Amino acid sequence: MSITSKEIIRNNFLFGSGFTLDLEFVCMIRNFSGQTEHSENVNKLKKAMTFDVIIYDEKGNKFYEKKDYATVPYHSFYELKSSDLECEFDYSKEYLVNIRYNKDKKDHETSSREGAVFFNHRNDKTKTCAVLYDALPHIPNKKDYSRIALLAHKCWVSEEIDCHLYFCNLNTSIESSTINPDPLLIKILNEAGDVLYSGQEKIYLNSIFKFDVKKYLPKELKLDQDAAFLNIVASASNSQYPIYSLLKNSVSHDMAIEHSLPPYYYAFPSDIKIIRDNFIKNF
Amino acid sequence: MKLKKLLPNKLRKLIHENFGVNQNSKIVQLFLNDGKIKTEFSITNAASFFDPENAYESSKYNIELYDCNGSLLESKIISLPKFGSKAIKPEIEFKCAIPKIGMFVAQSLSPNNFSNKNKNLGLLNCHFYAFYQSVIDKSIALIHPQHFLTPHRYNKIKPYYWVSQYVINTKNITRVEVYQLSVLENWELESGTELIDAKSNQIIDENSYFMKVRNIKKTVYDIKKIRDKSAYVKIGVKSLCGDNAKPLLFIYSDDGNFTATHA
Repeated sequence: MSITSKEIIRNNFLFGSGFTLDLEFVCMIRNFSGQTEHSENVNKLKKAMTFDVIIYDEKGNKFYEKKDYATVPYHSFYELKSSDLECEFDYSKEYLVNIRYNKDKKDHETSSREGAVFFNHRNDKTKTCAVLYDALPHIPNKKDYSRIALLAHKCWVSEEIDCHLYFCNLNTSIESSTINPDPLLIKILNEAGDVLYSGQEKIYLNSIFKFDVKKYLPKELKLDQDAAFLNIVASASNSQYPIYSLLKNSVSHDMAIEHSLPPYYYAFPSDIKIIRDNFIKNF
Repeated sequence: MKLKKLLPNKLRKLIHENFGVNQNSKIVQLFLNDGKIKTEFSITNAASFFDPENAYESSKYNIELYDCNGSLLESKIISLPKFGSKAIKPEIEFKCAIPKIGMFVAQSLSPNNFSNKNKNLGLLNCHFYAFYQSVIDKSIALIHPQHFLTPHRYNKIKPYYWVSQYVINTKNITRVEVYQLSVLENWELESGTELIDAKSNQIIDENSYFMKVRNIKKTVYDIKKIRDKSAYVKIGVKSLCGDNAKPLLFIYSDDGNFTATHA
């Protein structure tokens, strides 16, 4: 049920299509690293790279697959637009997009494992946002999955702004539509630490789960023009979820986006198991 | 057995105090208050989620505000309730004269592994986000925190030349503002930025500057001027101060709105 291979972690970039928010995606697939030198110093022996495009529908069925979609020369990039893909999307639905880089292990050092995707509003091309993040969250102990999927604190909502959390749930060992038996537990808390919402979601493996925060807020909570800050916490195992928050103004279509980082990046407990168990107890 | 288990607490504390290690880091992000953009920062009482048994009813955080020259303007301690969080608006939180461009710093003061209260929690850095909002239009941006203030010289990594992973399609883009923050507290450096044509990999424009400790440098590239010739650009930095000390990019489109991201 699980992905643990470092190769898979390094070779995949995941994101949601953004279609239900009237967005189109443009993924920039690069074959260079942050420390690539100037063109005159580029080692001519560095290799070109191909990539596969795999798209899953809302129930985790493989909707589109093209191996070796294109070749990216070394020190170059490829701009993959949703509008260029030869498939009949249902724009009222979200899709999980998986870009799989075909790289030799020895070439990993020459190209970044971070992926970059831009989302543009379908009817207003000046409205855009972009996020750059590691393919899948790295976990230090490959035997375990972190129960703490999210301890995010980057949710702002207002009368016009909603926060859409995208949970990208990839499991390459599963071919058919399968619901993850381990639900995703989610809570919304206010600044005082009061729980405004608590629930759980059963999610299809190889799909996108989009959590629209305003939909889950209590009706008595009145939002005004000023964006109010909320904390969202989620727990799950058996999957690794790259997660990002997309804030969108439903009137002006302005957007902000940022990825999450698992607690591994900022918490350094002497015993991760105790900390995880404590966290679960709190749910 | 790990070395830290062999060292008595007193010795570890001595090392911590003298070498700045084994301490919750001071995490950094750009603060803008230039009349066009306002900023707020979110902090969560993460310790209470990790260790509810010990009930960190009021976890403490040290927050600091610096100007763009690296001078400390004010620092204060704030408390967050158990499972609580706070959106910090520096113009409300601090009493000092608020700079147009500055550096916000947050450090968790939750008990670390020197404390007898909890030996399991360990080091816990303050993981906050910055929310930038236009005061002119409805542009918004969200960026995770950058590197930590580094009180000692890097032993392994020196500042290095680096190119952002972003390839920016210049269509509809008028300008890109690049903010570089020096997170080094004891190291001045020569740095600068480059605007690079992402197809030819040739430098279109560049600048150089000297960065004193905790300096912030802003570079503005006029994309409208070059977009007919360069359809795609990327940003280079001459001296990156740490792996996650990437510059921030504010990207403005034809309608005047911006989006922003770490490079």
